[in-house]
Amino acid sequence: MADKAKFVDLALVHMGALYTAALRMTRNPPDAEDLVQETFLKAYRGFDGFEEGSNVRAWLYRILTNTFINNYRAAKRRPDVENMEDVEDLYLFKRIPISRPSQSGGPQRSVEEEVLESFTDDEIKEALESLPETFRLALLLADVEGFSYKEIAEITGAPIGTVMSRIHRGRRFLEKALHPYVISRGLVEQDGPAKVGTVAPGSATSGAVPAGTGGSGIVASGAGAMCGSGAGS
Amino acid sequence: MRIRGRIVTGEHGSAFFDPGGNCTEAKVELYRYIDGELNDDTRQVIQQHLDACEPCFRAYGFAVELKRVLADRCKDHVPPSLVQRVREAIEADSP
Repeated sequence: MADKAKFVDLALVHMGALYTAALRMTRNPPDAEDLVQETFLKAYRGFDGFEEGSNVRAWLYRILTNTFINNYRAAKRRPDVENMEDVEDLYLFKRIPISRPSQSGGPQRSVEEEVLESFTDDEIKEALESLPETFRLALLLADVEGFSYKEIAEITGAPIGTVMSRIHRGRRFLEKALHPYVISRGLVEQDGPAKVGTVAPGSATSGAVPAGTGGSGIVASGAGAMCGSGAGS
Repeated sequence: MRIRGRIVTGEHGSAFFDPGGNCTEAKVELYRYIDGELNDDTRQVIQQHLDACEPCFRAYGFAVELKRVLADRCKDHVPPSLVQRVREAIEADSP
């Protein structure tokens, strides 16, 4: 019989993190609560087989992930998301202009900081929940929970290369999902990237809203995004 | 020992000495760098590049901050009723 006091001690402290993951995966509180309860009950029943000193949190996440896949996934068949069309990298970053006129005399923040700080908690959660399940889970484990690629491979049963690809693609999908929220605030470009390919310093702006058009007041400089093809070759 | 480094022209137009790696490599390895998943040698190459290349450093800063925002903004409070339910379920499960 499992040592109840020990289990309660070791496992229940992770309930907050598991509930957050369950909510993001099921997208509704009643299912999330059932999923968490089922996870802890399964964990308790399997606690005798749990090796002392191993990673309790990763073990609990593995049970949660398996339980979700087996019992809670809306459709049993997994859509072929691995072949989904990719999104360009740094999608949102590339649409943030280099600078914009200072709004006040306050401390200078980069436009990137301004964009990221403008998101509400609900927007971040909503954007994450809009991702296909495979990528949502990868980002939850990597970014929200901070597991290593190796731990995520163990939790999900996927090879480490697949895990890495899911995390990286998931981040690109997330940047695209976040983009519409900040368009309306006038912080980013609506269409093409503000930070574009090879542009000489001081050359004409590209993709910027021209000053005096009554637009957002965004001023894009000519600096490139992350340097791309051709650089250094 | 390999000596890395070359004069490059970044997308931002100016030529500079890139002590390690290049923009393309930094871009490819950006996420693994942020996630602490690179070996020491590659990490150092990317780090030196980020120190020298402002646009790449800016992209790095954004990606790191977005990761932090995701970690910070996705927390939910556990309903006290759930804590109670789970404790009761474990209690009831004992023989």
